[in-house]
Amino acid sequence: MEGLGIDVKLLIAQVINFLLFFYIFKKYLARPFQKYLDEETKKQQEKEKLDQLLKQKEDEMAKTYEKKKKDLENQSKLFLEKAKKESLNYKKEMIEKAKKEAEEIIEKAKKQIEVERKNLEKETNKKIIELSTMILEKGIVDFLDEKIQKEVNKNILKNLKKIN
Amino acid sequence: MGEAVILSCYRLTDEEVADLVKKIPQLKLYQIKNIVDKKILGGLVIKFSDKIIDLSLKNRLTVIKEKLYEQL
Repeated sequence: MEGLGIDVKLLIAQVINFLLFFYIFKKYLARPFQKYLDEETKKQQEKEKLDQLLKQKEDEMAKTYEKKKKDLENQSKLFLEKAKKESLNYKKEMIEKAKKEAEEIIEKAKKQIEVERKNLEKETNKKIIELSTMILEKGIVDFLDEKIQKEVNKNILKNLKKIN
Repeated sequence: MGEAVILSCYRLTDEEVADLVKKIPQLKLYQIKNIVDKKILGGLVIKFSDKIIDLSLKNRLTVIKEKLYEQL
Protein backbone atom coordinates (compact mmCIF):
# COMPACT_ATOMS: atom_id res chain seq x y z
CA MET A 1 0.00 0.00 0.00
CA GLU A 2 2.78 2.27 0.90
CA GLY A 3 4.34 1.40 -2.49
CA LEU A 4 1.24 2.75 -4.12
CA GLY A 5 1.67 5.94 -2.16
CA ILE A 6 -1.35 5.25 0.05
CA ASP A 7 -0.98 5.99 3.66
CA VAL A 8 -3.16 3.39 5.35
CA LYS A 9 -3.37 5.35 8.53
CA LEU A 10 -4.38 8.41 6.73
CA LEU A 11 -6.89 6.43 4.74
CA ILE A 12 -8.38 4.92 7.85
CA ALA A 13 -8.42 8.36 9.45
CA GLN A 14 -10.10 9.80 6.41
CA VAL A 15 -12.63 6.97 6.32
CA ILE A 16 -13.32 7.47 9.99
CA ASN A 17 -13.46 11.16 9.34
CA PHE A 18 -15.88 10.60 6.50
CA LEU A 19 -18.04 8.25 8.51
CA LEU A 20 -18.04 10.68 11.35
CA PHE A 21 -18.89 13.50 9.02
CA PHE A 22 -21.60 11.35 7.42
CA TYR A 23 -23.05 10.46 10.79
CA ILE A 24 -23.05 14.04 12.00
CA PHE A 25 -24.36 15.33 8.71
CA LYS A 26 -27.13 12.79 8.63
CA LYS A 27 -28.10 13.25 12.22
CA TYR A 28 -27.84 17.00 12.63
CA LEU A 29 -28.27 18.42 9.16
CA ALA A 30 -29.91 15.99 6.78
CA ARG A 31 -32.69 14.79 9.08
CA PRO A 32 -33.92 18.22 10.28
CA PHE A 33 -33.68 19.43 6.73
CA GLN A 34 -35.59 16.38 5.53
CA LYS A 35 -38.07 16.93 8.34
CA TYR A 36 -38.39 20.56 7.35
CA LEU A 37 -38.89 19.54 3.74
CA ASP A 38 -41.50 16.96 4.75
CA GLU A 39 -43.33 19.50 6.87
CA GLU A 40 -43.20 22.01 4.06
CA THR A 41 -44.48 19.38 1.65
CA LYS A 42 -47.21 18.46 4.08
CA LYS A 43 -48.09 22.12 4.56
CA GLN A 44 -48.11 22.57 0.82
CA GLN A 45 -50.35 19.56 0.44
CA GLU A 46 -52.68 20.82 3.15
CA LYS A 47 -52.69 24.21 1.51
CA GLU A 48 -53.47 22.65 -1.83
CA LYS A 49 -56.16 20.56 -0.20
CA LEU A 50 -57.58 23.66 1.46
CA ASP A 51 -57.39 25.54 -1.82
CA GLN A 52 -59.20 22.70 -3.50
CA LEU A 53 -61.78 22.69 -0.76
CA LEU A 54 -62.17 26.43 -1.04
CA LYS A 55 -62.48 26.16 -4.80
CA GLN A 56 -65.04 23.43 -4.36
CA LYS A 57 -66.93 25.62 -1.89
CA GLU A 58 -66.63 28.55 -4.23
CA ASP A 59 -67.94 26.45 -7.09
CA GLU A 60 -70.79 25.23 -4.93
CA MET A 61 -71.55 28.78 -3.88
CA ALA A 62 -71.38 29.94 -7.47
CA LYS A 63 -73.73 27.14 -8.45
CA THR A 64 -76.05 27.99 -5.55
CA TYR A 65 -75.87 31.65 -6.54
CA GLU A 66 -76.65 30.81 -10.16
CA LYS A 67 -79.51 28.55 -9.08
CA LYS A 68 -80.89 31.20 -6.74
CA LYS A 69 -80.46 33.83 -9.40
CA LYS A 70 -82.31 31.65 -11.87
CA ASP A 71 -85.02 30.90 -9.32
CA LEU A 72 -85.33 34.57 -8.54
CA GLU A 73 -85.51 35.40 -12.23
CA ASN A 74 -88.18 32.75 -12.70
CA GLN A 75 -90.06 34.04 -9.70
CA SER A 76 -89.77 37.60 -10.97
CA LYS A 77 -90.94 36.47 -14.38
CA LEU A 78 -93.88 34.62 -12.86
CA PHE A 79 -94.68 37.56 -10.63
CA LEU A 80 -94.50 39.95 -13.57
CA GLU A 81 -96.68 37.68 -15.66
CA LYS A 82 -99.15 37.38 -12.82
CA ALA A 83 -99.10 41.15 -12.26
CA LYS A 84 -99.53 41.71 -15.98
CA LYS A 85 -102.43 39.28 -16.08
CA GLU A 86 -104.01 40.84 -13.02
CA SER A 87 -103.48 44.28 -14.49
CA LEU A 88 -105.13 43.20 -17.73
CA ASN A 89 -108.02 41.67 -15.81
CA TYR A 90 -108.33 44.81 -13.72
CA LYS A 91 -108.21 46.91 -16.86
CA LYS A 92 -110.87 44.75 -18.43
CA GLU A 93 -113.02 44.97 -15.31
CA MET A 94 -112.58 48.74 -15.18
CA ILE A 95 -113.53 49.06 -18.85
CA GLU A 96 -116.58 46.85 -18.28
CA LYS A 97 -117.53 48.84 -15.21
CA ALA A 98 -117.05 52.15 -17.01
CA LYS A 99 -119.05 50.84 -19.95
CA LYS A 100 -121.83 49.70 -17.65
CA GLU A 101 -121.83 53.02 -15.82
CA ALA A 102 -121.89 54.89 -19.13
CA GLU A 103 -124.81 52.76 -20.27
CA GLU A 104 -126.61 53.43 -17.00
CA ILE A 105 -125.97 57.16 -17.31
CA ILE A 106 -127.20 57.12 -20.91
CA GLU A 107 -130.25 55.10 -19.90
CA LYS A 108 -130.94 57.47 -17.00
CA ALA A 109 -130.47 60.48 -19.27
CA LYS A 110 -132.82 58.94 -21.82
CA LYS A 111 -135.43 58.36 -19.15
CA GLN A 112 -134.96 61.88 -17.84
CA ILE A 113 -135.24 63.28 -21.37
CA GLU A 114 -138.38 61.20 -21.88
CA VAL A 115 -139.87 62.48 -18.60
CA GLU A 116 -138.93 66.05 -19.50
CA ARG A 117 -140.33 65.58 -23.00
CA LYS A 118 -143.59 64.29 -21.54
CA ASN A 119 -143.71 67.14 -19.02
CA LEU A 120 -143.03 69.63 -21.78
CA GLU A 121 -145.68 68.02 -23.93
CA LYS A 122 -148.11 68.16 -21.03
CA GLU A 123 -147.26 71.79 -20.32
CA THR A 124 -147.60 72.63 -24.01
CA ASN A 125 -150.95 70.87 -24.18
CA LYS A 126 -152.07 72.74 -21.06
CA LYS A 127 -151.07 76.01 -22.67
CA ILE A 128 -152.89 75.00 -25.86
CA ILE A 129 -156.02 74.16 -23.85
CA GLU A 130 -155.81 77.44 -21.93
CA LEU A 131 -155.21 79.41 -25.10
CA SER A 132 -157.97 77.56 -26.96
CA THR A 133 -160.50 78.18 -24.20
CA MET A 134 -159.45 81.81 -24.01
CA ILE A 135 -159.90 82.16 -27.77
CA LEU A 136 -163.19 80.30 -27.51
CA GLU A 137 -164.39 82.57 -24.70
CA LYS A 138 -163.41 85.62 -26.71
CA GLY A 139 -165.16 84.14 -29.77
CA ILE A 140 -168.28 83.43 -27.76
CA VAL A 141 -168.31 86.96 -26.36
CA ASP A 142 -167.89 88.43 -29.85
CA PHE A 143 -170.25 86.02 -31.53
CA LEU A 144 -173.16 85.77 -29.08
CA ASP A 145 -175.32 88.88 -29.33
CA GLU A 146 -178.45 89.24 -27.23
CA LYS A 147 -180.57 87.49 -29.84
CA ILE A 148 -178.36 84.41 -29.88
CA GLN A 149 -178.06 84.59 -26.07
CA LYS A 150 -181.85 84.41 -25.90
CA GLU A 151 -181.81 81.36 -28.18
CA VAL A 152 -179.19 79.76 -25.97
CA ASN A 153 -181.27 80.40 -22.84
CA LYS A 154 -184.37 79.13 -24.57
CA ASN A 155 -182.55 75.97 -25.51
CA ILE A 156 -181.18 75.52 -21.99
CA LEU A 157 -184.61 75.91 -20.43
CA LYS A 158 -186.09 73.54 -22.98
CA ASN A 159 -183.58 70.82 -22.11
CA LEU A 160 -183.62 71.49 -18.37
CA LYS A 161 -185.45 68.82 -16.45
CA LYS A 162 -187.81 69.96 -13.76
CA ILE A 163 -186.00 70.42 -10.43
CA ASN A 164 -188.13 69.96 -7.32
CA MET B 1 -188.97 85.52 1.94
CA GLY B 2 -185.45 84.77 0.80
CA GLU B 3 -183.77 85.97 -2.34
CA ALA B 4 -182.88 83.94 -5.40
CA VAL B 5 -180.29 85.38 -7.76
CA ILE B 6 -180.24 84.63 -11.47
CA LEU B 7 -177.10 85.60 -13.37
CA SER B 8 -177.43 86.10 -17.11
CA CYS B 9 -175.65 87.97 -19.89
CA TYR B 10 -178.66 90.19 -20.56
CA ARG B 11 -181.71 91.21 -18.53
CA LEU B 12 -184.24 88.39 -18.61
CA THR B 13 -187.80 89.04 -19.63
CA ASP B 14 -190.64 88.17 -17.25
CA GLU B 15 -191.57 85.37 -19.61
CA GLU B 16 -188.11 83.86 -19.42
CA VAL B 17 -188.16 84.12 -15.62
CA ALA B 18 -191.58 82.48 -15.57
CA ASP B 19 -190.31 79.63 -17.76
CA LEU B 20 -187.43 79.18 -15.38
CA VAL B 21 -189.75 79.10 -12.34
CA LYS B 22 -191.81 76.45 -14.10
CA LYS B 23 -188.73 74.28 -14.33
CA ILE B 24 -187.59 75.08 -10.80
CA PRO B 25 -190.76 75.45 -8.68
CA GLN B 26 -188.74 76.11 -5.51
CA LEU B 27 -188.01 79.58 -6.89
CA LYS B 28 -191.61 80.53 -6.09
CA LEU B 29 -190.52 80.66 -2.48
CA TYR B 30 -187.92 83.31 -3.21
CA GLN B 31 -187.84 86.86 -4.39
CA ILE B 32 -186.04 86.66 -7.72
CA LYS B 33 -183.29 89.11 -8.53
CA ASN B 34 -181.78 89.11 -12.03
CA ILE B 35 -178.15 90.29 -12.27
CA VAL B 36 -176.46 90.85 -15.63
CA ASP B 37 -172.97 89.29 -15.61
CA LYS B 38 -171.14 89.02 -18.94
CA LYS B 39 -168.49 86.86 -17.34
CA ILE B 40 -170.71 83.79 -17.51
CA LEU B 41 -170.48 84.10 -21.35
CA GLY B 42 -174.01 82.75 -21.87
CA GLY B 43 -176.74 80.70 -20.23
CA LEU B 44 -177.83 81.09 -16.62
CA VAL B 45 -176.59 80.69 -13.07
CA ILE B 46 -179.28 80.30 -10.42
CA LYS B 47 -178.44 80.75 -6.74
CA PHE B 48 -180.95 80.18 -3.95
CA SER B 49 -180.74 78.95 -0.42
CA ASP B 50 -177.42 77.09 -0.37
CA LYS B 51 -177.83 75.82 -3.94
CA ILE B 52 -176.12 76.92 -7.13
CA ILE B 53 -177.41 75.66 -10.45
CA ASP B 54 -174.80 76.58 -12.99
CA LEU B 55 -176.15 76.42 -16.56
CA SER B 56 -173.66 78.92 -17.96
CA LEU B 57 -171.45 78.54 -21.01
CA LYS B 58 -168.52 79.50 -18.80
CA ASN B 59 -169.23 76.42 -16.67
CA ARG B 60 -169.56 74.22 -19.77
CA LEU B 61 -166.20 75.47 -20.98
CA THR B 62 -164.67 74.85 -17.55
CA VAL B 63 -165.99 71.26 -17.57
CA ILE B 64 -164.60 70.68 -21.06
CA LYS B 65 -161.29 72.20 -20.00
CA GLU B 66 -161.10 69.91 -16.95
CA LYS B 67 -161.88 66.87 -19.09
CA LEU B 68 -159.12 67.85 -21.49
CA TYR B 69 -156.72 68.29 -18.57
CA GLU B 70 -157.64 64.82 -17.29
CA GLN B 71 -156.67 63.32 -20.63
CA LEU B 72 -153.11 64.75 -20.45
